[in-house]
Amino acid sequence: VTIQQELQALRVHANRLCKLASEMQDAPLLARFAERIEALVDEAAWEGGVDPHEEVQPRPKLDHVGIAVRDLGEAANLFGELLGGRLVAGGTNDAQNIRTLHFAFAHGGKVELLQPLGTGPLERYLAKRGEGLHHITVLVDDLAETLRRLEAARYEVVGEQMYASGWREAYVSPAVANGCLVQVVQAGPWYGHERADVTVEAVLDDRWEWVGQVPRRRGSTS
Amino acid sequence: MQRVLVNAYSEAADRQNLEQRVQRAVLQKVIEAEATVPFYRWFYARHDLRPDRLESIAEFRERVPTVTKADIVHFQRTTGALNYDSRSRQLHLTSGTSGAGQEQHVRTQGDLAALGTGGAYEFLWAGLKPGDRVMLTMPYSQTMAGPYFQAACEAAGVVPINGFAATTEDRLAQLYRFECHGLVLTPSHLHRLTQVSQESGRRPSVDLASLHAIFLSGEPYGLEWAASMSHYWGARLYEGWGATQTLGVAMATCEAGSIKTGASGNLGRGVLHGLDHRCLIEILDPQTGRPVADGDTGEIVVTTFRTSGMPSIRFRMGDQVRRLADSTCDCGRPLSCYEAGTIGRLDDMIKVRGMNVWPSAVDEVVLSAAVADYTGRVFTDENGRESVELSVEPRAPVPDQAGFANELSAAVRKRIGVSVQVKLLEPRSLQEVQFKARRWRDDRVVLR
Repeated sequence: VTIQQELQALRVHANRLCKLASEMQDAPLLARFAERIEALVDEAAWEGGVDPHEEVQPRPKLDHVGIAVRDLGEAANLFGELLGGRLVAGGTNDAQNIRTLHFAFAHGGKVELLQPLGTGPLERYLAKRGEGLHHITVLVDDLAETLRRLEAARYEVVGEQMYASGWREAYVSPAVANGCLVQVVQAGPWYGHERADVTVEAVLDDRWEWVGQVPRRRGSTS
Repeated sequence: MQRVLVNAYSEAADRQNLEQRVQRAVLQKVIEAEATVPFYRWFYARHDLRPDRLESIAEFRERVPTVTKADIVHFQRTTGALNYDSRSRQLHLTSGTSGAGQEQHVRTQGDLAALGTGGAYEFLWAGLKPGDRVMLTMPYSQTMAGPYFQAACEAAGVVPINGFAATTEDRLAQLYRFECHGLVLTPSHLHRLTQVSQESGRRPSVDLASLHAIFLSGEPYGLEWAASMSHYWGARLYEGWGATQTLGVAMATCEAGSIKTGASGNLGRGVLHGLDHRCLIEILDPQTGRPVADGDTGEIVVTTFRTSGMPSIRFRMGDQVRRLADSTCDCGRPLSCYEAGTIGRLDDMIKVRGMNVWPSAVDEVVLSAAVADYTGRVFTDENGRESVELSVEPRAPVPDQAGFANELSAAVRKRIGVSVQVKLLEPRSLQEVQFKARRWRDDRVVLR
């Protein structure tokens, strides 16, 4: 994650904080703090070269569908070479023992291909169900609010987690979601930035790792 | 000299990327100003300008009208629409005593966050480090020089030592007491401070080793004078240029400082860099409105990107500067370049003790009395203070000369805010003016 991505993420969070604080009737002092935080973040972002007019993608949004595959190279050929998807990210998730490739299509469609590298949940999933749709991911502005709505409607939500990068996620079980695992995510705008230097060959050759929902060249810090 | 990078995103940027960024910022600022600032809505309607139809910086330069102080003052006086709303956090007043009035600049929280950033470049380029102490001497009032420098200290992480309310002697003592690393003041005041320091027997180049940067602003100065100051204080001179309309510093010298010494010991002017990612600086021929060539002098016209309460969009500053080629400075930054030490007023305004004095304002008072003509002189007195002397030729012999002089002096002071000495001359002792009167002479030491 670059400092510009962090600053852009901070801008979005500060803006949200400002709106929330200004809507409170009984905390004008907090609203002033929020306003000052937002102004300072905006100034820092400007000095950091962040374009303040860069649009933040509207949410909620269907970010991608995840497909479990046995041979990542073969699937990459189908979704990339033959169907015209553009590789935008990918890498090996050592913690989950999987390797992934993300192909974007025109007007926002995105496919995440997932291959297990050994034992683990994805390997068990493939053994039980075979290749196919593994999950869909919906990006939301406010995960807590979305979860409140789901729980109020008696949908069971599992696996709620928050990571250091600011990525927050939870899942709606396929048992109650029409047979589909739904990943609900709140992330800063740093998420989803295209990495032009990632290639299928490099990912398959294990030269990229997948850390904090972004690709990172092995051995580097960015 | 080693380049001091303060922000690689602006100083090591590719010039083409910087220009693209500037174009986006300029076009967006015009649209935003027309939508949110009453003055610009009124002004652009009068000029039949549709900001949303501008597509390039070339169109911006061609079609967006320049704004003068008089335009804003007229609008604020006649409509009363000052853009006060719940977003207002401060009101800044320009410091003019020209008779053209002082326009108000509403500042939002966003503006305040940007208040000190430009000044931070000036301080950090000069090598100040977090925790260093900097004496500020600019006044605190609705005219904002003091608060701008205070904010610059905050942005740079340096500690302000506020000497604005102290006497010259106390400031000198505090410089030593706090072992200051930097000193911010006008050339005139530096001259006065130096005189007081010399009289007290101090040798700052030896006994104030912490001081290594003196930041000048507000007035032009001569090279020999500057070199002597640098030598006496054992500190490099730096310079910043800015105003209320630019929300503080918009040009600053880099680590190379404001005077250069060649291999053979010859002195030369340093370079002021435009903070081009924060404002668009145009140097225009005041007669034609066209950009001047490198090496030529023209009026500074600014468009600020980091102001929203009252942005300046193609604002004619009334200051003139010599534009230099972008590559003039050895530092290699992709920033526009201007000659240091020479920024002065395009009109005949003279800055005396930090106050803007227009000779036309003095004319109004003196020539409305029983006076045939007069000449004015600004000079440095024996105590190093800036003084103003008027040599006045009465129309007829005056019986009570002292009373006449005192009365005139008081009237002038009331009008321009600066004390003047009035010396009466014999009738017909001044040469008759045949063309444009040039009554004023500037004999201040700092110009040598």
